[in-house]
Amino acid sequence: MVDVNSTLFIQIINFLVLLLVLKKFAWGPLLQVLHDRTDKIANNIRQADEDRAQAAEMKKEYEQKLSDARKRAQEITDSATQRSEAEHRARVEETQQEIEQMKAAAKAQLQAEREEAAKKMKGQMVALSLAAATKLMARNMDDAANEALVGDFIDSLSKEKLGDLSC
Amino acid sequence: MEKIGHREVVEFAGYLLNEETLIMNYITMAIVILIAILASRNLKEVPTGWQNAIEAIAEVWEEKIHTMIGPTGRSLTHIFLSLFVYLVIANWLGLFPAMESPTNDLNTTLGLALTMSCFIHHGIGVARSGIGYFKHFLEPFAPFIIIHIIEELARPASLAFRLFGNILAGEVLIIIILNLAPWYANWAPHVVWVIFSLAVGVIQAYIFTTLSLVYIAPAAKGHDHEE
Repeated sequence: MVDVNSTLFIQIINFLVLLLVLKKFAWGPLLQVLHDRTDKIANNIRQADEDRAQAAEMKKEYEQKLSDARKRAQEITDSATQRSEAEHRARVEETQQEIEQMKAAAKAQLQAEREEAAKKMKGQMVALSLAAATKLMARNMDDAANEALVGDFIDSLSKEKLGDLSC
Repeated sequence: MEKIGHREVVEFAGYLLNEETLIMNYITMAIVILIAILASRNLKEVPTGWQNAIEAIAEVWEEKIHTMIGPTGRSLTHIFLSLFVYLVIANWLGLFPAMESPTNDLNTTLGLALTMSCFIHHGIGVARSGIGYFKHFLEPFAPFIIIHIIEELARPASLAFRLFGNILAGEVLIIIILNLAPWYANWAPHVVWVIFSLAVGVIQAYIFTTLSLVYIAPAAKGHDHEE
């Protein structure tokens, strides 16, 4: 029971052999699997944390980009509206100016045509006068009439112009 | 009654051997190896069955080792796992009829205690710190070597006698209970005591393994030999 004998050494050797056998064939591979899994889980958790942080960063970045884009779009719309308003105004002004010009041109043309017409009329009147004068002069060939005419003229002269001119 | 704890001694090539202890020891080893085969055959990433059970035990020890030694102790897990599984099976074996625990023989427990607290302990110390490991016997100053030597002797002795006493007492009590009460009444205390002994078997295995770890931890940590 409590007598120690050679069994002690056999037991020591038996236990050491058991340790070696178990390590080599059983616990070694089993613990390897266990450690690999522990490492893998730790890695996965770390990876997941990293991914989440990265995703949050990307989200922030995209939101920033989106708000920038929105702002930019607003700017573009605003500037387009402004430009179109300015263009509209300019077009209206231009049109008004054109109308003014056309009016002025029309007025000038009217004036010129009137003057032309007046000039033409004047010419025609001269011609008509000349023709009338010629006709009258042709009738002058009649001596008697001529005589009467001249006599009238002289008479009028004598009465109105000559005055006290003695003939 | 007179057979409790008694060992048939056989002489083999001039050496005295306890035949029954050795036979029970080989049966224990066979069972442990069988469990090991069941646990480590087709290892899966997601463990089931025996693999799961052994991994649960391994993780208990790995966590303890991690606390006491640190990450470098990982390579020692298999020693404590083997010791614990071996002790649990050995302690339980005596609860079967007509069987006795190999651990109710001082030869076995002293052999285990010496293996753990001397060979593996100082072996790891030398492996980690070289021959300078033995300097710690002279710390804090030379006369302390006496105290250190007493400590080195007391440790395996206390480990061995604690386990031996507990297991032997448990088995003695089983036989006493069976003989003390008449046959129609003895089964009730017997069942209670066997259930209690199952727990004692695990607890003693746990204590033995934990104390071995406590002794080995300072040597395994390397340069720090304070205890």
